[in-house]
Amino acid sequence: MTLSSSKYFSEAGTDIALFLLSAVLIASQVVLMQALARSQGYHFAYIVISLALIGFGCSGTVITLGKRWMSRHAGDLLPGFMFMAGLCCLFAFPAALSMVAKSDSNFLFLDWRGWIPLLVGAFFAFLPFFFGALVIGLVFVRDSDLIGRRYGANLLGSASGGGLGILLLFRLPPENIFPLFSCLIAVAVLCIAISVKSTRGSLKFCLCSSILAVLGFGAALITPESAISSYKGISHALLLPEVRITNDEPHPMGRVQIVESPALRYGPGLSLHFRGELPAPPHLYVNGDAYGVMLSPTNEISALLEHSLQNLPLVLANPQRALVINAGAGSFVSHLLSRGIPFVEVIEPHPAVALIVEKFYGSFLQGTILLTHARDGRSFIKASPCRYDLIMLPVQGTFGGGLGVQSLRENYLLTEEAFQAIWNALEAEGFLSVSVYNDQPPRQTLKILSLLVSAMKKQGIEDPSGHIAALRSWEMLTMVASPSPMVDSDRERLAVFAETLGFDRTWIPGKGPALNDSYHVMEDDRLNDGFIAIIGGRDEEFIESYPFMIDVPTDDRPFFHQFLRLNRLPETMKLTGGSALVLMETGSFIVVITVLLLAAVTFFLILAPLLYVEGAAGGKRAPFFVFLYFSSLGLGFMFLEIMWIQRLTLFWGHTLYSAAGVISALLCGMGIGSIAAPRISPSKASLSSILIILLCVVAASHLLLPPLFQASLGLPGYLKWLLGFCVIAVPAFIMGMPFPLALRRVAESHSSLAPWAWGINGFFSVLAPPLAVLAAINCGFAAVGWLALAAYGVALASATSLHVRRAGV
Amino acid sequence: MIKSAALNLLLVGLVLLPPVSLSFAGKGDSPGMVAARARMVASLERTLAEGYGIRDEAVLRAMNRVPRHLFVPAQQQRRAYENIPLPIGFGQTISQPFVVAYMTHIVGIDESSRVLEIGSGSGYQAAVLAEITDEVYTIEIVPQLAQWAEDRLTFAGYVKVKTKQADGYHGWMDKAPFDAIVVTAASPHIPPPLIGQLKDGGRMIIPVGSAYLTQQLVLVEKHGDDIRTRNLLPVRFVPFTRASEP
Repeated sequence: MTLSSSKYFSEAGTDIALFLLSAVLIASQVVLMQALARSQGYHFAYIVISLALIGFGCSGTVITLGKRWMSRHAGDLLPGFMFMAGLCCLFAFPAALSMVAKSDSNFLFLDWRGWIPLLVGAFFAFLPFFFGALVIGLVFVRDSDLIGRRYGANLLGSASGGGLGILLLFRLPPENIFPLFSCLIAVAVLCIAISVKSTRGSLKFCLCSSILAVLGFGAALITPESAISSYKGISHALLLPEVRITNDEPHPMGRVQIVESPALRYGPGLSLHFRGELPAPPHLYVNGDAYGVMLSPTNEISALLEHSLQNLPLVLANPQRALVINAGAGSFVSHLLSRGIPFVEVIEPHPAVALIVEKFYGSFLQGTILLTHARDGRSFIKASPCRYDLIMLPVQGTFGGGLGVQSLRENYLLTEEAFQAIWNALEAEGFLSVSVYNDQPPRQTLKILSLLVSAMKKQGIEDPSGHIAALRSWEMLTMVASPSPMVDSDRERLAVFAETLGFDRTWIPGKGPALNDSYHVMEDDRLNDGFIAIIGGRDEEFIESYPFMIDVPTDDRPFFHQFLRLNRLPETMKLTGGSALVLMETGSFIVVITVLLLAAVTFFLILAPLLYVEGAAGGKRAPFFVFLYFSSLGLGFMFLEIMWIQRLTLFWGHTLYSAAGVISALLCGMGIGSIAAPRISPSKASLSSILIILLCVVAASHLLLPPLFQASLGLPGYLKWLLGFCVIAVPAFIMGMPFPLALRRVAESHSSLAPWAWGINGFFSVLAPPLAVLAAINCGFAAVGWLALAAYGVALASATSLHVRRAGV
Repeated sequence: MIKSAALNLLLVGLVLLPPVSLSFAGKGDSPGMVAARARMVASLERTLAEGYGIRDEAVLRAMNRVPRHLFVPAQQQRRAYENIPLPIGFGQTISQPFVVAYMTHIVGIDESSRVLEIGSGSGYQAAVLAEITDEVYTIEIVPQLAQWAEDRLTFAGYVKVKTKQADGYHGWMDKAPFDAIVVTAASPHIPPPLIGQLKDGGRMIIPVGSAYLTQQLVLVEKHGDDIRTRNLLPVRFVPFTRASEP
């Protein structure tokens, strides 16, 4: 179809509108993830993606069912839907966050009322996606003769959305971004007004645009700070007397706030023999969660730190060159500076925090060289040729154990591969130090030990007993390990330090636990048993028989804080009394509940209306192979998307970057694939061929990506972005073809089946993200990749039977 | 090996509950309340014995004497003898009766003990302690709650209990040392001044851990310079709010 010049430009208005709207819808997902991370402590990426898909799927159902009527009234409906989409960006997202903040994820399984605000919040978050998708769908239906360019505008906008979201988060907090989205939609409405021929129609759009723009700008000026869960660390800190926020800056990796109060004291790992005054240093929060304290390395602080369990590596060693990985606000840095270590290198993945650390501690330097790197610890170790006398890891876990919903978060610093890389960066006489909060029953403590022992064995240390020392206070356990065996003088220093400050020797190098030490009695004796078994060479047997999952996390399954063994559930329920278990393992339970809730919601919003209306109209229901094909495509696609998001989290350094980048790369590649699809005949042979190519490409990428990413981890950031984008976009190009091709094939034989194909695909696409997370937690991301391949395999097998015979033909 | 029941989560400070206004509860100890309290104590007796192997007549007697309904806001009175925490306003709660009984038992006080409570809250824990010993000191940081606790304790006849509005972090230096210290709010660390104010042979029970996450109920025992701890139960208390000055 050719267009005259004037027609081309008038149609360009609608294209720009689609571009903007699509960009806003994808950027909203990214911003919403960050807002949820601040409000509840976890990004809930998989739920946000599912919510957006429900919005899209539901709008598809509505359009399918009311296609004729909506086509006739598109002139009235379009401005209305756009207005609603803009309005929802303005009000529904903040309302959703406000509702979500009312709930405490730790209590969800103990008090059912906690689910109400969460579900209401999910409904609010669904609305902007629903109305936005209605607009896009309606434009597609109205302009079916221009579908190619409309689709292109939609995909280009979607692909840009991820970057837009990230860019905005660099400058503004989420609550200020939502009104901007409303303004962007106002611009989109104005662009559509250009293409409307009638003055009356054009006026409607202009009126909607003006109202949205005024509301958007107004809201941007007066937007109150978005609600944050009262159960977050900063909420508590802000209740303290004379409290003040001395620094506050937005960032895609989490909003950074520094809080000071004379009552906000600090003394972790502290001996009970310490009788001095606890300092009240500035506390740093990222997304409202405690991220560490900024300790001035003064004499008073030095005395405090010498009473701390974390002083153990400095009791045993006199390092000349120290590395602090994931330094947080730098309390360890203060420790090292106060001891006059000549060379200290600091790695902090959050760029804004790294800058703060550099400035703050830089002012206390007296003969120490301090290098600060705003970089992920894993990529730094990979790229750095240096060796260190001391490497300090951040304190892990929480006191008592159980990170709640945050246990779903991947931790690529606590994996087998990470520990091996860190071990390789140690000098022969160097020390690795890691502290972990005590928990009951012991889980995080034993898992760290498993990691350490595994790394040592991989490096050829067959008997790690003499290479490890561990001390325990009432609060935490500190382990140090060295490539060289420790000697008598080390054992003596350990004994003096422990006895003077009242710490229990959980492991004396070369000897084992000091069973007579009983300063801090735990109501559980499995910690010592675990140390003896894991260090003593019975690690596999012990880990296998342990009621909790304490085997070594890997990059493929980087969920350090997941301890639940589904096959030992009755035993662990009995052991923990049940109610405590759900608090310890909230993450796993939430994913399971999410799958069930999403299944119910998606069924009622997408499949049930189709069932009812098509049934009432005597329409044909989807045959088995149509169901199989489109459900497999939905599952396969989303499994891959979630797997790639997780794989790129390590490569790109943060889940939010990964989610934005993967969504953009996928949509870009798929968009081009979908545009290419109409040039291909929807025959059985071509459909099968494309699926075979897809299977090969996905299998190849599945097998090659992990080593490729591992090898390229040390590359500069921009190269990693480029590489990651390309390796996702290429398979995505082919992934964009099977759906439209099969849809055409099905529609050719029986057009009433097309809505079913859409609905079935949507239903399984919504369910796939939490299913993928569940599979990854229990079997690893490689398993998710194989599941995706299996799903595409099923699609291939069912593709040959997609042609539905017409009745009587 | 720990008993499995000992790890049952205790919802000490169920902060999901809405805030309430502080109006006085009704006077008197009606037969209905007495009966409800007896049922609560009977239930506690079973739970303590079967789940934790604890049989402490003195504590149960104290629990049976203290009219808990006088220590909750009027609108919460009908739930006063349920074994649950209840909101008392200012983000604070009256602890679950089980936890009150458990903590009172664990610190092991008798009629000659001098006891310090940090976090008066409603005043209920102090009243239970006062049923066992005459020397009970209690500190509350929230001024309104400190006044409420004092009024309630007086109203219920516990006139010997000494109350103070101050930062509990610093303890009560003038009245130290104490045989026992009962901390009823979560703290991220064990405050050094409180250890300093424990008598030789004294015991302190304190919920420690991050605010709003699971905490551990920790027993601290002091024998001269020898300080030992024992981690007892996972619990969830409201945070330890501290003022800037003692």
